[in-house]
Amino acid sequence: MILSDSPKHPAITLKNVSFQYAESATELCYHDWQVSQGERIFLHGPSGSGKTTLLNLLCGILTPDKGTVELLSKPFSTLRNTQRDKFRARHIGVVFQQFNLISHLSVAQNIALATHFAGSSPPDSATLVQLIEALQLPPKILHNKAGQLSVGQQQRVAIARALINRPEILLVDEPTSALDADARDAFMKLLISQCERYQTTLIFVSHDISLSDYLDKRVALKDLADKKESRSC
Amino acid sequence: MLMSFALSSLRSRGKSVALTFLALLISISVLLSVEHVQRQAQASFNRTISDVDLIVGAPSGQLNLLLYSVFRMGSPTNSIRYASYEMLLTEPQVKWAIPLSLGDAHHGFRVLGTNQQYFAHYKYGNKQPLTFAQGKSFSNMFDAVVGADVASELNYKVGDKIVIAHGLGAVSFKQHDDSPFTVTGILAPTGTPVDKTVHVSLQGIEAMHAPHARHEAEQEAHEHANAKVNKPDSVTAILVGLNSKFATFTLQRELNNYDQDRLMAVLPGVALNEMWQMMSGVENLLRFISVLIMLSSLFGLSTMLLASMHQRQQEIAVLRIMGAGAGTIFRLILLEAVLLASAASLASVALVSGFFAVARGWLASHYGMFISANLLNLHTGLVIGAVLLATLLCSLLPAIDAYRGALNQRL
Repeated sequence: MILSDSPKHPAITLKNVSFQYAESATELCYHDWQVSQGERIFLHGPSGSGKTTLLNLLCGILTPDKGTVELLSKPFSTLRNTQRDKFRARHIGVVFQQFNLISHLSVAQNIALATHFAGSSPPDSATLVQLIEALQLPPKILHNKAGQLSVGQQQRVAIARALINRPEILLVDEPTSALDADARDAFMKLLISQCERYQTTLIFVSHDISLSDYLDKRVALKDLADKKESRSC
Repeated sequence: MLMSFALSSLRSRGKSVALTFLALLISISVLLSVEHVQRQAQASFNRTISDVDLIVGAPSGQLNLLLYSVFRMGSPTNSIRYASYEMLLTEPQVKWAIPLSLGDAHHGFRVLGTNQQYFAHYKYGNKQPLTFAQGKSFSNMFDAVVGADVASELNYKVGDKIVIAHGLGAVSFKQHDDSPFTVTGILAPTGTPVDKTVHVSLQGIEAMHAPHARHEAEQEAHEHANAKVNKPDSVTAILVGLNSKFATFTLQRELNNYDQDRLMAVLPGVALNEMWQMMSGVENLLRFISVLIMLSSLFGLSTMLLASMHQRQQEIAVLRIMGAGAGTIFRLILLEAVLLASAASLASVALVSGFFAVARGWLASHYGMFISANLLNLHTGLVIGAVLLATLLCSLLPAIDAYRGALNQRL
């Protein structure tokens, strides 16, 4: 699938975005970029190249110093904090490397918490069981405390939590770095099948190029962002 | 949802939360106890004596006379002559006068020598008269009327024979074995020192102190009342009710200048006021200390929450990516603090109530203070409200810290 002739609406649009951490001397300038809905992007680059910053900008935890981020053809980075939080709860799913769950809550409570912040009704048990089984986890795991699960199980529950609100956009940051090779392949297959099922736009960040086969398109961050010493872009 | 999250979060940090809870429990209990005792003590003293215009006794401090004659506390005062009591009865302004003769004990309970005037005119609380739960007033020299607590603790019934000791100790060396008294009446509970008193006639007291008194007294009683026995030499104090309150100061001055006996007349309200003034310094000091303890435990709570912030960065990050705003994180921290303080407050009310339920008998017998075990009143509500407000203020710091952290949170 080629970006420019995609008939679909854009899911993500970066326009003239630049960002600089207060404690840093370098500024990150992102090129204008568009991702269509349903596209699955593999974003790679060495550490410090601005991958995580981009994810922070895309989920609205950070806002650009200049330029705008539009999501689903709506302004996002210019929303007020509370509206941006609400938008994130409803339309964006996020999975980190590790520690995606509240360890003292059960799996079911973790998933219910995501629906709570999105303002939707808590999932019924049939939906939960279905979701958990689709991720090849035993249904009884729903009542275990998240902190008691293995890392591989936690990462799969994290997908369930990230997808419970049927977000249009899923942002995933090195989700397999704590997994061994077998678990990693299983995880990737599950992730892709879930995204296909819900037609979710996926931004998958990793430095492990071998994972790029699972996704539609590969983007190197050095082609997407420039580092400048001063505010000059 | 936020509530169950806060509860689960508190549970997950068991040890530090439990210790903070204990610190709060102790400090709130101290605060509640100080407030409760102060209010109850004042109420219990104020309700002990009602409708008495003057207390007349031997010259000493007005407070000492009040404490000894009414509350059975403090050091004994000197006696005054019985003739002075007779003189008071002839005063035109005097409506009634109750003689009180103290100095003896029965199994640790005070023995009070008095006459029928006591049952007719002694009032407590809101001008409530004494009533009999069983039996009737004494008619014979060796009859006794016991207070409600005396009856229940010593298991006395009407008709029981009891022995009265000379002196005030619980175990007296000089038992007046040869002067047994008969219980003729049991008073209804009053919540005042009356409950802990054995009442006998003045003649009974006199006879008890005379050698072989019973034998002689019985003989004399049979011989139709010898004047020497019927008229005791002295009494400890006299409670006086007047026809008109306006006469109080005139009579007080007259009695203080009485030349036949050395007398002192005090106004119970004035003496009680003097006591509250003396106590208020101590009360304020106690309250000040308990507020300081409270504050230090609230700072402990604040410290616990602040320290937990560093461990909870990941938890906050997870909440943030799920779409929780910084305001939600802020409210969550406040909620945790208030939940903990509320739980500690409830536990404190239970603890302090339990303590006074157990200790009230001891407090009443040793200090004459009738402290209710019921803490459920408006004042307790206000104290707890103030504690919760202070908790909110003290947890603002960690909550703001968490709020800022949440805003600057990165993934």
